[in-house]
Amino acid sequence: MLEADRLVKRFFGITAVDHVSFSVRAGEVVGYLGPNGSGKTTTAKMLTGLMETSSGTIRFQQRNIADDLIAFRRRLGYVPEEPHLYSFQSGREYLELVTRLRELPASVDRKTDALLALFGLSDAVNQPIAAYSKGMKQKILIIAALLHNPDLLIFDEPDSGLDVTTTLVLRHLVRALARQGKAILYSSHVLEIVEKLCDRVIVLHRGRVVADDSVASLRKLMTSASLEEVFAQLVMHDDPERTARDIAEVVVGHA
Amino acid sequence: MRDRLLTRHFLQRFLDHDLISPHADRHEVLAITCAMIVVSSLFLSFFLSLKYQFNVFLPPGLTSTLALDDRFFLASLAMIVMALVAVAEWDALVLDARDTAVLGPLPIDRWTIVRAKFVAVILLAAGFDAALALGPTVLRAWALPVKLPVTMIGALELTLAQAACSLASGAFGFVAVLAIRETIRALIGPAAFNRMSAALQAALGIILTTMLLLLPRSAGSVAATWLSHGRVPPAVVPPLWFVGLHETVVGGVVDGLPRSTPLPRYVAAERTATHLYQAVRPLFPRLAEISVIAMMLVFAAAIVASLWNNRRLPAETFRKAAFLSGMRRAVGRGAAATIVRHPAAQAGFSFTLQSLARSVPHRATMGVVVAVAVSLVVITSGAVDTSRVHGIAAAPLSALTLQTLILAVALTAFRHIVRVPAELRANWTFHLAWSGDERPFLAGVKRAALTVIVAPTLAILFLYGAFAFGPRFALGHLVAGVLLSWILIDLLFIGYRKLPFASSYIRSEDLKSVGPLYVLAALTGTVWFAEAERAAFGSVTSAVLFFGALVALGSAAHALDASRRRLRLPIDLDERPAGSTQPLELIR
Repeated sequence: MLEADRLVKRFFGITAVDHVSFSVRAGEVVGYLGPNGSGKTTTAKMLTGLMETSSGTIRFQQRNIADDLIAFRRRLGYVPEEPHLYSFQSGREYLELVTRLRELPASVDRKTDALLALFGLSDAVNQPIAAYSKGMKQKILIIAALLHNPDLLIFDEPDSGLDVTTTLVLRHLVRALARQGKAILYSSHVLEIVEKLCDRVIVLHRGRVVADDSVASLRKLMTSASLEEVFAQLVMHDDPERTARDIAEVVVGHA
Repeated sequence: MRDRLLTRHFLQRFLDHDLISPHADRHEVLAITCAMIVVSSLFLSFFLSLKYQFNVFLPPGLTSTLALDDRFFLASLAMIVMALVAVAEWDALVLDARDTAVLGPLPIDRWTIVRAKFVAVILLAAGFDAALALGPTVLRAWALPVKLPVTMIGALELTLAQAACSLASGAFGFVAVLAIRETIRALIGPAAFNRMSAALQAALGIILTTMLLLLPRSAGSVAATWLSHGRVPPAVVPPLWFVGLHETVVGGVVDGLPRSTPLPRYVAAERTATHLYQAVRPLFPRLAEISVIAMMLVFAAAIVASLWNNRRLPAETFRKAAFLSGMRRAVGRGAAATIVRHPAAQAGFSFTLQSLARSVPHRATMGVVVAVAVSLVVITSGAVDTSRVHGIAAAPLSALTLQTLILAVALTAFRHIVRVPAELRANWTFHLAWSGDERPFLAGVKRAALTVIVAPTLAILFLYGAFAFGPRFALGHLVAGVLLSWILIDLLFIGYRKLPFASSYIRSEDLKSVGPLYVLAALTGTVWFAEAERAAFGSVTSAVLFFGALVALGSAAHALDASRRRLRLPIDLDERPAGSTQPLELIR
């Protein structure tokens, strides 16, 4: 359904994403992992067309998304990493703006109300977004991404700021949406979620794909018990325990 | 050391302002603002001094009386501009929840933070006040007729008094706003104040801008009007307090000069002016007293209220959804559904209303428009003898140009602010949800302008016209106004290929050359339209021709806009301003 082919993004000569290729099929949940600054968000922005690629192609159902970006976005739902919303609007006003801009029928308002209730935002929906916590903003973004029933969903760290219950709901929701045939790219730092949720995992390190396989295959390949260990072997060149000890020593030593 | 660091931090916070574009270099904006204030004050002072330079033999009586107008103008200007600075900085004048979040966890005594904030506010006020006072002070001696035998000491006294009065009146304006803000906050509490803060700020902004616009008209013949036969007692006009202070201290420098026989052309005027000045002179000590008391009162109120409000660091307060907000939402949704049908048009309509009401740069611009409109009404109502107007055909041009001018100003301002993004970082929403056709969204934006800007303006002007000139005049004028608005809104958006309130703002490079031409064309067009309107109501045939021509013009503008938009062009939401350096693209 979605294919990224040798994507490259350079900022002032620095390569943030370096020849990244992968595909996401219908009904598949693909985890996108990597440490801070590995290029996850840059990839997500290129996949949504919010950022131009330096080179490489993105195809959705065999068509280059750049040929008709608007048609592609009609079938895309995106939850960005940073919840930048219009702070002077209320949550409902924001969702109304999105539904009207997408030219969805007025009946979608009932869907909005139902989703707001299910995400526990009914009481806060008329308050200004400026008063929302990060988790509440994240919920608004998730609802906005789902309202038009997209075929492709890109989640860029959607669990950031969410409470435990909502994180669990989101996990089940992603699985349920995948069962309905939606292609899902799920970028997250929470390895446990990715391990339980994703059919396949792509690990990114310094802008390059260092692994692309199912969690089970990766575990088998790396002879590790968990995804966390696989991840550690792939991208962590320092021992986290030792780094933590060093930090503690610096903190105490410079007190 | 820590105090200085905190003070510098708070001074930088003054630049963290909603009215400054996130792309702008904030220090450059500050430098330009200060330069503009200094240059304007120098230019105005030079302009005020010209009358003395062109009348070198002006005798003392006339000089003293004329100088009262200058003192009144300069005191008012300093007071209003400094009050506007305080209104512009409004929330940054005091500690807020963000300061608590940043500084609260640090091991810094609360009073250290409060003291640093006080010092930063004082430095801000002092900087702007000094910039404003520079021109009148430096050029004070220049504003004396060359042949007037004022001694060097006298000139120095006048210069020092001018500096003191300019600084005092400016400080009064600034501190008065701070006192109003902090006293209300202390009285009603932070939560209630947060609910009304934006409205209070907007109201003060409109009042002060209106006063600034009306200042040139009201600063003439101060001795004969404000001080002698004014409709309001001098004791309730704050700029007069500082005029009184100035004259009490150094009024004698010019008025006390030996009277020789003036030139024949000045004899009668000098006698009248001397009598007038002598008649109002007893008022000055009283006004000076009031100025000192008023200064002490506003400073005391500001300090006491600020100390009370800062007895603990402010916490975040949020507005709860109330019945009113629900009702407002229902009205908004109802209006959007009835006035515009297409979903994207409804999005444009609602987003315009929300941006105009809640986004600071948009609200500030519309506040200036309201101030301009009020000023125009005040000026026109004073210039027209309403008892002689019994229909449009007999109306003076000034009465007919008012509506056209206000509509032109309001719609031009609206055309400008649609270019300013409501919140640049959030415009990815438009990227993702955009249908690719700007026409319905733009139609919604235009309908919103007609609904919330044009309709209330015409309604108020209709009531004013009906009251001042009679219902027949008001009705005919209203119909002309409706048609004119319809034409203007289409004309102003011809060729606009951006997304209102969402595309990034790119400053027009040719504004300096095109701006004056646009103003000239607008003024000429306004007069032509008023003449055509007056001529149209001379007979039924000419009225039919006039309205027919307007309908034809509106239809033509609409058709032209529609035909140009038939060709679908991609809309750039993230256009970047041209850099000050040429990129060579050496690295890719």
